[in-house]
Parts: sequence; structure tokens; C-alpha cells
Amino acid sequence: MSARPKLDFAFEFRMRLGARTHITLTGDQTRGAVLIEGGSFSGPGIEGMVVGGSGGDFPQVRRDGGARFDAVYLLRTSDGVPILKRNSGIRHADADATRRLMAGEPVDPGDYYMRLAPRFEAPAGPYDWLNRTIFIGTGIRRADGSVFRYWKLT
Amino acid sequence: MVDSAEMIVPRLSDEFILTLQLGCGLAIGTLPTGGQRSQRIVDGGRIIGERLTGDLVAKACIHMLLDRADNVVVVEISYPIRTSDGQMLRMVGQGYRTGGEAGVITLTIAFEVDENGPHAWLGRSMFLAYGDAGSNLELHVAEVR
Repeated sequence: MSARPKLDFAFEFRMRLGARTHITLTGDQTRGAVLIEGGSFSGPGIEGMVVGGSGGDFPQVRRDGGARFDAVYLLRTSDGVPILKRNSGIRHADADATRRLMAGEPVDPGDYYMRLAPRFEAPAGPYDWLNRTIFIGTGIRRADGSVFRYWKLT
Repeated sequence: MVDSAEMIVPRLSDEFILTLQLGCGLAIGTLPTGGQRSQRIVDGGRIIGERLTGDLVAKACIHMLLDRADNVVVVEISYPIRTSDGQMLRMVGQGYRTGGEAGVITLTIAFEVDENGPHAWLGRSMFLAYGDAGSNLELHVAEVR
């Protein structure tokens, strides 16, 4: 039987986000759109920038605070390697936490559930371990941006 | 700006054992976008845990593989499950098989479930599945808390 995987810290992202747009598809289905203005990331053996204007997050958002993240954007490591990042995830919050999140107010991360599952497309080379590694993450959303921390399964 | 110390550190909580019997493979071939695409027929399976037990609806299960040139197999699953209390839900996941036929599988998992039903909690969390590769899979499914 496989040993239970461990979670080892991989990296942290600090994101600068643009204005949020919401597209109401039906009475209970809303698609958000948040474009990436830029940011940075760093962790053991890897660091770089989030390429502004390269993509965004387009979550499905429910009135009850439930959300499914669906993001794609480009990274560039400090040694110039481009990497595509896709980010899916789940957020669940009660009504009060949802209202404060949507208003961009500070919310204690313990007041809501937010877990992320990114995937990466990196070229063969020093970062190709990203292509075969499972990560999970947590995040904090603020009015001026978001911070994501990711752990890799080892 | 956010202080990293504020942030939640995730942990895994074992919830289910998913056993799966895989049948024959259906090879599609080499995709123009790279990789060898194939699908495995699912002959049957069962999920067992304290908070959920049920059987996979084998005929409706999708177990899709993309065998990449770097010897990593991308695994995509969609398993409808009929629970022991008569509910239907769907388990979806994506991840990797590494280490070849005798390697390991690790998937991130989400559930689609009736938000007003008894298993609504499954739809509000992310899960991980992991286990040894093979035709008779036994995957441990843990909630990411």
C-alpha cells in the first residue's frame, strides 16, 4: 500500500488583481472575471513573477458563497523560464463571510474554506517536476490582491 | 498586505477507501497535441467510509489516460456513485500516475452532489486520492482540511 503522502511547502504567490466583473448567467449561476495585473512567487528552488495581463481567474460564484475557481495565467521564473499555471479550487463560506469577501473586507481565513489545486505546464529542465507533482493550496483574498500558499505532495 | 503567518496550513483527513476494478483498455492513439490517449473500462468499484458508502455505476464511469513522453500518465476520472442510502453523486478528479505500471497514482478530487441532500458536505471540500497503480486499484481518499 502506498504511504500516505506528506505535504511539503512549495511556494507562495502574491497576486495583484484588477477590477472584478460578474456575469450573471442565470438566477443562481454567476461567472466572475478577475484579470491578473501582476505579482510574484517564491519557494525553495524557484522564484519569479506573475506576468501581468497574461490571464485571470474566472470563478463560478454562487449567491451562498460557494465558488469554484478556474484560473489560468503565465509565470516567468527569475532565470527566464515561462510556465503556464492553471488553478482550480473550492471556496465555501457562510453568508456573512461571503458578504465581507465580496465587499473586499478583511475576513479571517478560519471563517471560510478555500483550497486550491494548481497544475503547471513547464518546459523540460529544472522546473519540469511541476508537470508531475500534485499541489494543494490555501489562500487569502484581500481588496488589493490575494496570497496563495501551496504545498506539494511527496 | 497579508502576513503569511495568518494563513491556514492544510492537512489531510482520511475519509474513504475507493476500490476499483479496471477492465480492458481502449487505445485512441497518438494525439496531435502530444501523448497517447486511452481509456480503461471500469468493471466495478466501491467506496467505503464512515460517512459514505456506495457503489460505482460502472457503465457510466470514465477513466481516461494520457501517456506523456515524460513517462507520466495524466489520469482523469468521472465516477457516478450510488450511495448505500440511495443518493447519486459524481466523483471527478485529475492527477498523475508516476513510476510506471507499478507506480503510484495521486489525484485531486471534487464531488458533485445535491446541495440539499445528506451528502452535501462533499461538495464543499476538496479531496485527494492516492494509491498504488494497477488494474485493481485501492485508493485512499482524504479530505483536504
